[in-house]
Amino acid sequence: MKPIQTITRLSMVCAVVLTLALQAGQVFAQGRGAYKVVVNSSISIGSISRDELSRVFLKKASKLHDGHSAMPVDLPASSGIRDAFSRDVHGKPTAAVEAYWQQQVFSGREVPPAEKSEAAALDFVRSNSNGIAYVSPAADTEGLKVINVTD
Amino acid sequence: MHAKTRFLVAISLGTAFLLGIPGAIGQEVKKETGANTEIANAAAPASSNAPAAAPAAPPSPEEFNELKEQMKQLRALVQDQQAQLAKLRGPAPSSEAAPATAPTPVPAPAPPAPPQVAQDTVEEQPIRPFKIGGFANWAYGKTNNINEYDLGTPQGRYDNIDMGLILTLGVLPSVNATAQVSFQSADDHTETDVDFAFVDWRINDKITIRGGQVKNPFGLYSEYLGIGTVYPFNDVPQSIYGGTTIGKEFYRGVGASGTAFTTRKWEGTYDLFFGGLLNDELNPAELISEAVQNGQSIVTIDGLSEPIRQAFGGRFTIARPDSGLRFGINGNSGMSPDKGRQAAVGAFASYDTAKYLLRAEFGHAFEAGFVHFSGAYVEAGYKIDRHWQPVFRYEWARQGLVTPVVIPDSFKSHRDIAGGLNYWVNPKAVIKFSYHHVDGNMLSVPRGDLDLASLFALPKTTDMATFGLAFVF
Repeated sequence: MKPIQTITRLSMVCAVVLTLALQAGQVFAQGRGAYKVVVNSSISIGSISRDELSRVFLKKASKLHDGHSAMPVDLPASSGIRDAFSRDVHGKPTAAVEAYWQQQVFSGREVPPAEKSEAAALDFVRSNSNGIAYVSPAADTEGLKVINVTD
Repeated sequence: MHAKTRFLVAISLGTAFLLGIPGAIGQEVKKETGANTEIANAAAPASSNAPAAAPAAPPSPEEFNELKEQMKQLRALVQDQQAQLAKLRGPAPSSEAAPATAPTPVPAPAPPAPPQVAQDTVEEQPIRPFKIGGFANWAYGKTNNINEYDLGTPQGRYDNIDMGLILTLGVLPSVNATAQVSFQSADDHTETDVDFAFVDWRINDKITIRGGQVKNPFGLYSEYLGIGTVYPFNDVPQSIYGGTTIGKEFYRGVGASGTAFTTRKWEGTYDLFFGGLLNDELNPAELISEAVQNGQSIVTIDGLSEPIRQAFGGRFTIARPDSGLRFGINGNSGMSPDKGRQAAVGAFASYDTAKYLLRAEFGHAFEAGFVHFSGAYVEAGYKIDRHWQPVFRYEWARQGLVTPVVIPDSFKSHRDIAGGLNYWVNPKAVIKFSYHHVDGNMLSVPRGDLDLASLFALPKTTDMATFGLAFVF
């Protein structure tokens, strides 16, 4: 009986660990590679760190590290791409980022970036020399610069 | 006359040549005489008003020599200008440095110019769009005895309503105007107020200047009073924000805020201000003391507002945004018209994630030689899923009043243990239920006229239930 109990317990532990690992993997997969960051082609940078990207999209920094002004645009709060971006870059889900913006708005400090559909966000970045956005990996980014996100 | 005319032609020629240099960067002087001839031809229309444009008679040998001398001077001038331009251009190869026999290097056609960075030309600054935000709260509160506390009354209060609009407008790329207009209803009276109206100027990411009636940067909640989606119960902790004069809602004056430092994970932010404050105070002990000393048998219990002048204060916060951890210190001080200098200091910490909420704050307010308040709270919440969130709060406050009158201790102390359950419809709308057990009469006391003889008979503990909803847009 005892070996069977041990095997049963080990199986349960393995199942739990496997489930957690799969969930972690899903979270990871949802973050990294689930979006790409695009900027107007006039912006010279080729990469940006997650910290800086977070500060730009939370409007704590108004300029990129090369001194170029940045005008970020968000996808709608219901967007899965935005949630992946939020988790990967801000370290929190979209709901928590929305809570942050509530505090910023109602303390009169800042308003969130405009929310646009993916197509509108791409158009915005194309037509605005300071534009920066994140879109799905499959999005047509012709005429835009895709920049690397680094740790 | 001819000599003068030719001198003018030479000057025109030189001027046109020099003006043309910037457009011909990288090009060298070609065949000297040929080039000059071409330029002279090109310059002719530009000097059409000059008589030199007219056909001239062949020059005499003297005139020819004079013209030759002028051309020499002009060439020297041009070479001098080119040398200066070469210096300005940096280490570009100079034709003088090339071997005399080598053909003058002609640079390859320049590649297409890379897109210019915006700040090299005209900086395109974002202008904050006009935006309207809003909030609304409604709550019902009922106490189990004659004491009133926060949102609750013995009869049950239905009209705890607070709704408002916040308007933000970008005036200039770095200048914004913000105003908040609110409608409040409670205890059978309503008020319409301009809660805040200020202009801010973001000089850079490190400093923003604000002026007007501005939300007071104190603690975790002074800037969000009335925004029910920010705090876990139907109202903010009373020990800090409910009449103890520790947390004040706004200042009138000028202030600065910004980022003090950033590291890879941490950031420090600051707020500073100078101006006037408003104390909203509920102080039954002081009212009782005054009534007794004045020989009255009745005391009227109600909240008081007192302006604080020549105030200054600030807040310093350290946060790790990705983890939701934040803590800091704050304080302010100013002159009370009746009681001299008044000051409040405090410290706070919070840990907010999508699932967990843990917040704590401590504050102390005092008027030297007269009265002081101390207050603290800790509150916690846990999101079981996207919708359900049980919450808990413990708060405590204590008052010290310098008076010869014997005041019952219960009027100098406050303790509230509360539990609640929230249902989040979405991150912008929440329905809340809470139950509070309050010990002490410092903030839980009947309002209006109170017979001093009945002081010791007042219930020292009060239970209150609240139900409410809040949303923002």
